[in-house]
Amino acid sequence: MRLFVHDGTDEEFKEQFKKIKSDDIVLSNNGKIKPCVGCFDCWVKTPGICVIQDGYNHIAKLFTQAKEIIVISRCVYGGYSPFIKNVFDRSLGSLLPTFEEKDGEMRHLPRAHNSPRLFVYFYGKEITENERDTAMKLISKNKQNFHFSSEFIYFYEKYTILENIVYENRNRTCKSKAWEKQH
Amino acid sequence: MKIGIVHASPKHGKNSTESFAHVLANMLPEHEISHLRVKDARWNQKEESHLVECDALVLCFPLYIDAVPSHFLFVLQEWEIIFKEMHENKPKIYVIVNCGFFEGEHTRVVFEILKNWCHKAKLEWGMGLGIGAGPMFAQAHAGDLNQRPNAVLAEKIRTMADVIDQLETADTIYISPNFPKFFYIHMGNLGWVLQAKKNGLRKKDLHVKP
Repeated sequence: MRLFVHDGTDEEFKEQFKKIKSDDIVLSNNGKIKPCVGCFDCWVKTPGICVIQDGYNHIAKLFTQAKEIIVISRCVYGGYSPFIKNVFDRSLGSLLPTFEEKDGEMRHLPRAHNSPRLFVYFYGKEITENERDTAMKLISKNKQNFHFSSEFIYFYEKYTILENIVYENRNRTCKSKAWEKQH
Repeated sequence: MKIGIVHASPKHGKNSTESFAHVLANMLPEHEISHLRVKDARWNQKEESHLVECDALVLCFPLYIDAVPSHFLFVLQEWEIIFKEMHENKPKIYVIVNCGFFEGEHTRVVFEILKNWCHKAKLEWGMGLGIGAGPMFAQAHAGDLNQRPNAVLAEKIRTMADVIDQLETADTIYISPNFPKFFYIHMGNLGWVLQAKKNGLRKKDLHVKP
């Protein structure tokens, strides 16, 4: 299953992404998502399920089932837009509360071993060099902490020119991760 | 000097962010300090004067998934517009971020994000303080700040207070406790099991797949 997470409207997404497969899942912003409140109930009360009943309480489950997570986000200060960040915050239950130490740093164990690939398509007209640099570090950190198998990051000017590029990139054999990050 | 302290943890009641902000405030007794709380994506716009009239603005929040909690990111976008329209007497920005991981270095990327925000909002960056093992420090600091493990935290917050006092700029400081990491991990893992048991769950229930 591929999980698309984007910060446009349902209509915008449908208009631009016409090659969605039947088992793909698309998470859009319906304007009703509530922020994570750091209660940790998704770890110690209802493991893997968020207790906030707003229609987005199943995000962790989607993260534990996806083979690929494809994010389309406006680039905000070198990170995700508030909706996309909200989705990531609410995905906390896809990790276990249990800590481990790896490569000298503490992190959480994964709840499942699906190890999805992460594709992030940042768009925005005024993305600075520093913001690109920050975004690459952020995605790399996300990969480590979420146990993603690999991460790919792309920058574009507009959401509306993404469709063809998404599919071109996905069909291309990548020379290296560093090369991917630069293009 | 006017100092604005922003408490941006979404948690209600006692939380680590609030604790560290108060320790800092207590170290700056000679200044006029106002507190602004941002618990969700809305903020009290009547408090805009606190925001724009201060000389130093201290943003305090917990690390959420390697970055800024989403509700505060939303608010920062609104504040970017406010600050961009100001032409003079802008506050200098100081940031305290705490996380549950042992190593304060986990907060490294979030300071870059906040520096990028400063650039967009045309604000001057002051200093960052990244606190690892935040909940442990927050629980312990009710005791004597001169005792371990609090002494290291108190020293670094004091350093930041001195920098703010002079409206200076300084390098970001990262704090990890002077405490064995393996023991912190062990106690943390035990703590999750105990919390689960209080909710009627068994240890193995924590690992269930939804």
